[in-house]
Parts: sequence; structure tokens; C-alpha cells
Amino acid sequence: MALLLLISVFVIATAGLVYELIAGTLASYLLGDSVTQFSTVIGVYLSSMGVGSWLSRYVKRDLLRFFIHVELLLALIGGSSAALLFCLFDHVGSFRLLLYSLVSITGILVGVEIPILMRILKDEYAFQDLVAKVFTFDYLGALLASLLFPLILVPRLGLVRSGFFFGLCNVLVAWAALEILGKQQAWRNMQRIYVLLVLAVCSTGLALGERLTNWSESQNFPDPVIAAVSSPYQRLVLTRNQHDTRLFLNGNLQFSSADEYRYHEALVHPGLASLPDAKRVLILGGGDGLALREVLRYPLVEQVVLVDLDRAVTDLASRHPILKDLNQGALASPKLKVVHEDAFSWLRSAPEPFDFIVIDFPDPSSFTIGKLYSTRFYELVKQALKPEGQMVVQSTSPFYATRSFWTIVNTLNAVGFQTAPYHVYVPSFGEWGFVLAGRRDHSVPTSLPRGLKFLSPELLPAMFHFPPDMQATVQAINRLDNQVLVRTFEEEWTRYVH
Amino acid sequence: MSINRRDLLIGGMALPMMMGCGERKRELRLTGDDSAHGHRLRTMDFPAASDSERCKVLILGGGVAGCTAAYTLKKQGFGDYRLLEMGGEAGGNARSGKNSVSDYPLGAHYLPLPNAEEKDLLEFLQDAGALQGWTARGEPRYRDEFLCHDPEDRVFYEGRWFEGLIAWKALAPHEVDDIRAFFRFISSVRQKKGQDGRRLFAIPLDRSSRDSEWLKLDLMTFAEFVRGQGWHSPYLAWYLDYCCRDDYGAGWQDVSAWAGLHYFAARDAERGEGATILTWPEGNAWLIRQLMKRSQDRMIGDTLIFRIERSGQGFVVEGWQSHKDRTVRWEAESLIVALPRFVAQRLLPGYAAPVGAMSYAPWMVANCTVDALPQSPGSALAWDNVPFGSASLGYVVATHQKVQRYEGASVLSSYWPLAAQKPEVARMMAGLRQCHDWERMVLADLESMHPGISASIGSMDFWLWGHGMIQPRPGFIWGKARARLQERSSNLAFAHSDMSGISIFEEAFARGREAALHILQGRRFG
Repeated sequence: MALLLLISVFVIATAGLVYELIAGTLASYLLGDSVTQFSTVIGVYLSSMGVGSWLSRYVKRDLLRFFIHVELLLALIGGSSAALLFCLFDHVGSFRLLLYSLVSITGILVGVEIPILMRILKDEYAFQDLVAKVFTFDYLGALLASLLFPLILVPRLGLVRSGFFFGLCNVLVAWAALEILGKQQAWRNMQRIYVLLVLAVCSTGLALGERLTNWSESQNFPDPVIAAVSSPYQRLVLTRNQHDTRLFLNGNLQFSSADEYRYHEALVHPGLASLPDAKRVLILGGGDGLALREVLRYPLVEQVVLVDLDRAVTDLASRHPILKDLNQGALASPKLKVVHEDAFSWLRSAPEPFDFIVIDFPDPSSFTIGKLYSTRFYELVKQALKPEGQMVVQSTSPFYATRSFWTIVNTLNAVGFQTAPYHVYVPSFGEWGFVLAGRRDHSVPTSLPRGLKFLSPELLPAMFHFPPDMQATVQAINRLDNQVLVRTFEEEWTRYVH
Repeated sequence: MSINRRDLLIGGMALPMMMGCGERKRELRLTGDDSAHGHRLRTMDFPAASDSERCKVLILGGGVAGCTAAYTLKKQGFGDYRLLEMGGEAGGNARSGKNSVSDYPLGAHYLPLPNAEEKDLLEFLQDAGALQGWTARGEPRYRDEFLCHDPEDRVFYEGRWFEGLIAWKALAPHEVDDIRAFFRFISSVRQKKGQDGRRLFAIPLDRSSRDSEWLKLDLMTFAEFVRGQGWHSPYLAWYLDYCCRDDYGAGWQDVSAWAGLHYFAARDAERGEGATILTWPEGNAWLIRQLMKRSQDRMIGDTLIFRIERSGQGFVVEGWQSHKDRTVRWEAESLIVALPRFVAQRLLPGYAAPVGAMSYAPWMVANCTVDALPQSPGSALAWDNVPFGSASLGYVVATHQKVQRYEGASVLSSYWPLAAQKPEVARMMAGLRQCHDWERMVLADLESMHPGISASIGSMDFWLWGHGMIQPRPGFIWGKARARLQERSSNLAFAHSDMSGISIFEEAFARGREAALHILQGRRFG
């Protein structure tokens, strides 16, 4: 019996440390800066254990029942802590408050359990023997936890299920204590019901695992998912590791915070810097606010209209702290008017013309998106562009999808635009292409706004030069009734994807 | 066509889903062309004429042929005409419906791009704004909105969608060989001229060659002809049967080989890419609107014509208007009878077709309003979505021409030529079916393509065409009966696609135009 209780010490010690590791890991996933997160979580946890130990002195009677209750509470709170933190991340005012509350409660409970257990065991062993045995198992449990966690639990079970798994261990310890030590107790049946209830909760959690959270798709992404939203149009997923934050729309990388400035500086400035008098700017797509951030570098721009079909994108980008940092709160600009409408139908409403138009749609990987690269669409954009205005189109990779890129150029030419294609290197995308188009020829700007991290006037002319491996001769024009671009794009990209 | 294990399995999987979803309360409506008013002709208990009107030319029937006659008269500068139509609005089988989600077709819903020789039709399309002009290379430039957007069609074969109507990638080599051979034969026929120097298969079909070698094909069925060529591919058999049901409302074993070949060989080779048809959410009702643009004030709807008599040099026509319960009497110098012959011959017995010579296919079109467009494995949703081996022709997406990037709700028009039995039998059986019978039939078909789709269908509008279209059964197109249908006099002309033996817009258009020009000429010299 004593041996069994010592095994319990081992189990609860392992569980306790696992809860702490889960909290630390989650905090670094969700908040970034892992050194600070781990350090504060460990601090709060250990001090709470101290509090728990101190509090244990006030427990005078019914030690066994108290111990069982502590185990069950620990199973419930510690076991579901990962799931709770994940699910509530987007919904609570202060995530840190929730995090540290959970960590303290777990710490206190873990702190209580060892002294209580020692008091239960005090008649079985001599004092010096007892202390030696309990702490040996306690520390050995810690060793096991620290090895299990990175090597088996996180890769195999994931954080949510690891939590519930150790919740289950706590329940089993409570049950063993109840069955072995509580034989003569009148309250045994009542406690059995509690045990069964908590057992059911933890088993359900273990079975459902990541499906309990929005993060079930974590396995599809290389990094931990820190936010996920489903809109009527698409699935938005934000992931984060030590180095960068990434936004995925339907699994396609939208940007990486590590190099998005290259993309967005290249998207906006070659065109907008060439129009010193530009006052009205239109952004089609680009609900993440990053192109907008670049546009707002021009103090003379008076109004920006951003048309993005998906409210979920602009909502996430204007509320999520990480995204808000990244777009520098651009979506709150008083110059901005946001329209949540389909770009095609919005353009048909004949808006007042713009000086500069940024078209930042996803790549033409489906027929629905392919329409936004068609002659018909560009005719409408042309009507929304002032005679001296310029527009820029994100045009996929001229390296990976060479013919697609030149099909877009061709299509713009077919509508009567003068085009100026260019390209830049964005590490997370590869070599990327854009096309400037206007009724008049584009002139390469000689000065750029201050504070850019990538573009410089010296770099600009080279961007308009295409080496032979990014050139292609295509005749195709993308029309609504042939959608050649979608077909070409699929052909070209499948070579790389499969 | 045998059902293999996989089909069964897929069908079986669909069943439990349907059971589960069948509980959704769904609005069902059943209407059709076979109006109760029409049946009043049998009893003839109409009131005596209370009003009398007079005009020079009276057009009876507001289908495509009648509307084209009106369009042509107006275009020729002739204004003294009226058009009488039994329904509330013009259109015949090109009529459309509308709900909060979209316009949708009730019948005919597209027009293949005309051949260069079809000058009259091209001129009309230019008038209507569908054709914007010609490129430097002489190619027609159609309006983007009306050219069917890509992807145009796809087929559901063995649990997966394939682009186009032939699932090339899933077929065994011998099937591919047969299908290729068939298409090679078609392109050779397309080029050929008959001994009289005319194109073998032309549109309108009366312009086709009378080379007797080829007219012989009208005496055998399309199935006999194809099998005789040694093409035994089951997929080809389904495909050709599908095409015949689609255009003629009868299977390939009931359609003449000449008509079957006409479907493929009468139109110029498809361009390498791009649309092959023009289409609109409301289907060919758009064309009707354009034809009637300058004749709206001359159309008199809700008028059931029950008597035509010759009087002096002209005609007296009596029609009953149900909403006012009155009979109006028109006196006209000339008459264009743009009614189907089975109706026209009751009014003008001298022009009756021989008994049994003409056969009309019954159809049912179900417009299903869905909350969201269906998703499924394989090729992306197309305008026309065809399930291999089904009694239906599949469904057309009414909102396909909308350019919005994401469409939520839509209307799927599911087409059902009732071609499994003889038309009389199929018509009777169709008449006995209730809303719920059609609902089960259509849902089973849609579920086989998209398991679970029933849950997103909020309403279904069934439209039953008792006499949907003339069927080109063997011997009809080049036989004596059809030749007799062409008879006319200087002030009486007939115009309907049933006089051609195939029910396509181009034929009705040509008939309407021809009749109008004939009447105008008769008036000038008669």
C-alpha cells in the first residue's frame, strides 16, 4: 500500500510538471518571446506551490477526502488547461490574467498535495525515510516529465491531449487512494461518482483532442496555430514561431512577418511614388492592412478605399495585437473607407475614379478567382482609373509560373493598358511578380518615402529587368469564357507542388 | 448500360443522407404549359364575342417563332400587326421564372454561337447587343457577359467530376478509340458537300443538301447507324443518347440518324478555346425580350384562340380572355400561325398533319433554390453539370454568368426529358405525378452527385411541359408529312419549329422570319 502511494507521488509529480510545461509552451506560442513566458510561468508556478504548501497546514481533518478532492480538481483544471487557453485566447480581455490564474491554481493544488500525502503516509515510515522517499519520487517524476514532454507528448499527443492525459493520471491516483485507503469511509460512494465524472471529462477531452479547439488543423501547418477563423468565404489561420507570424487563407501563405515588407513595399511604391499628386487610392483585396500601411506613408493621399469581400480578414487585422502591430494600426486610419463587397460588383457601381489602384488578390488558382484577372474585370478597373493614374496587379511568380505571369501582362495589354512588369525576391514566396498598368507609360520614380526597409531608388530600375529564365512568349488573353490563366497557372504550379 | 458495383455503393451512400435531410421543410410548386384553359377547347363553351378589333396582320402564338415574326415585321417597317398569346407573357418554351435569388429558365436556356452563314440571326444578335461587332480577322465579338463563362460543362462519372462531357481520363483505350473515331467522322462530315453542292447538314435544316445518299440516314435510328459503324463503346452510347435527349427530347434509339448527325455536324468546328454558346440566367427569355423590345405594345396575352374562319379576303379570329371572361373577335387580312401544329390543326383542319406523324416530347424542369453551391471532388462546378447514366440531363447553374467571386445562394435548373416511354404514355404518367413524386426523383438525382445537398435546397419549382418539343423520329424530317406542313397561301403562313422537326431556337427564328417576309410579300403583290 505504501508503495502504491509512492507511485502516486511519482505520477502526480510528473503531471504537475507537465501542466507547467504546457502553460509555458502555450504562452510562448500565443504571446511570443519564449524566454519571458517560460520564466514568468515557472516563477508563478513555483511560488504558487509554496502558497499551496503553506495552506496545507490549515487542513486538519479528513485528509484522505481532501487529497482526493485536490487530485480531482487538478485533473479537471490542469487537464483542461491547454484546451481552455487555446479556446479562450481570442475571447478574453486579458489573456495573461487567464494564463497566470490557471498557472497559480494548478501550482497551489500541486503544492498542497505533497504535504498532505506525506501526512497521510506519516504512520507508514519513519520521518527521515518518508522525506527521502517522497522527494526521490517527486524529483524522479520531474525528470520523467521533462523528457516525456518534448520527446513524446508534444509530437505524438499534442498539447491539448497531453493535458487531458495527465488529467486522467490524476483521476486514477484519486481513485486508487479512494479504493485502497478509503475502505471504511461512509462517503466512498459519493466520491466514486465524482471520480467517474472527472474521468468522463478527461477521457472525452483525450478522445476529441485538438478537435475541441479551432486548432485541429495545427498538423497542417509547420508552426503553432495561434488564431483561426472561418468566414463564409475562407478559413483564416495565423501561425507563429520564434521568428515570424504567418497568415494563411485556405492554407495558402498570405504573408510572413519576416519578409512581408519586401512584398508590400514592392507592391505599392514603384507605382505610387511615381504619382506625386495622387490623392485617391483604391486597394482591392489586401484586407490585412499591410499594403494600406505602405500607402499611408504618403501624406498627400487624402482618401483610401479598401475593398475586401471578407469582413473576417479586416476584423482580424484590425483587432489581433500581432497583426495590428504589423500593419501599424493602418485600418484605424481616418483616411480609410472599408467596403466589404465583391470587387467585381463594387466596380460595376462606377465609383469616382482613383489616382492609384492596388490589386492584391490571391493567385488565380480557381475559376472564381480567375475572373478577377479577366479582360472584363480590367475593363471595369480601367473605368475606375483616372487618365493619368496607374494600377498595380500582384501577378504570381514569374519564375515558377512564367506563362501565367505573362498571360496577366498580355491580358492587361489587350484591354489597352501600357504595362510595366517587374519582380522582386521575397524569401518566403520566392521570386515574385507585379505589373504596373496605366493609359500612359509608367516612369520609374527617382525618390521613395523614407523609412523603407527594402526598396531604394537604386534598386528600382533593376526590378524592371527580366532575365531569360523569367521570360516567356504567350499569346493567350484571359477572358471570362476561356479562363486560360487558371488552366495555365494550375499546369505550372502542379510541377512544384506534386 | 449496366450499373457497376461502385455506382451502387455511391448511390447507397447517398440514401441515408437523404433520409436524414428529407425533414427540411421545402417549398414545392408545380406548374406547366398544359393549362386548364387549353382543355376548354374540347368543350368550346366560350361566350359570344363582346369586342371586335381589326388589324392587317395577326400573329397567333408568342413563342420564339411568333416573336420573331413580330420582330421581322417591325424591322421591315410594317406596324399594323398584333400578336395573340395564350399565356400571360411571350416566350413559349423559352420562358423564365424568377425568385429572390435569381432569374432562372423554365425551358430553353442557351444559343450555340451561330455559323457565319446564319446572317439573319447574327444581325438580330447585333441588334440585341449580344454581338458587338467583328475583329480585324473577321471573328465575331460577343459580349463577355453572355458568352458562357468557363468552365462550360463537366460530367459526373464513377464518383468524380471530369471537365467536358467525355471523361477521357477514366475511359479504357478501346472506348477512347471509338469516341475519337466518332468525332473524326463528324469533322469529315462537317466539311463535306452533297452532290447538289450544299452543306450536308445546315442550319436552318432546310438549307441542307438533298443528296439521297445522306437523306437515307433519316430512315434509320441514330443508334443503328452508330452501331453499324462498329463503334460499340458504352460511354459513346450514353453520350450520344444524352445529346439526343438534350436537343430532341428522345433517346438515340428513337431519333433518326440524320437528326443525330445534324446535332454534331451542322455547327462549325468549335474554336480551340472559349465559349461555344451564349447564355443568360433567365435562359432564352433574354432573346425573347430582345425580339419583343419594339412589339410589347402589340402583344395581347391571356388570349386563348378557339376559332379561325376565312371571311372574304381575310380571316376572323376569336379568342377568349379568361381574366375578363370575354371573347374578342379580330378581323385581319393576313395570318401568321405560330402555334404548334397539334393546336393549329384544330383551328384550321385543312392543314392537319397525318395522324401519328408528329410526336412531341414531354419535359419536366425543376428549379431548385440552394443555400450554397455544391462542392464535390474533381473538376470545378461548371455551367452545365451532367451525371453519367442518369435519366436527367443534370443541372445548369442559373447564377453561372454572375461575376461575383463568391456566390452563396443559387438556383440549379435540373432538366428531365421524359424520354423513357412513348410520349403519350410519358405525358400521362407525368400528369399523375404530384409535387412530392417529382421532389423525390430530383433529389435522388442531385444526391447521387452531391451527397447531402438536399439539406441546402429551400424550394423547388417544377415546370411540366406536356408538349415540350417536336421529336425527329426516323422518317419525319425528310418524309412526306413534314413536306405537307410547309403549305401556305399568300395571306396565311405557318411558323413553328415543329415544321423543321427539331426544336432549336435557330429553326423557330428562321420559321418566324420566313413567315413574316412571305406575308409582307403577299401583301405587296397579292
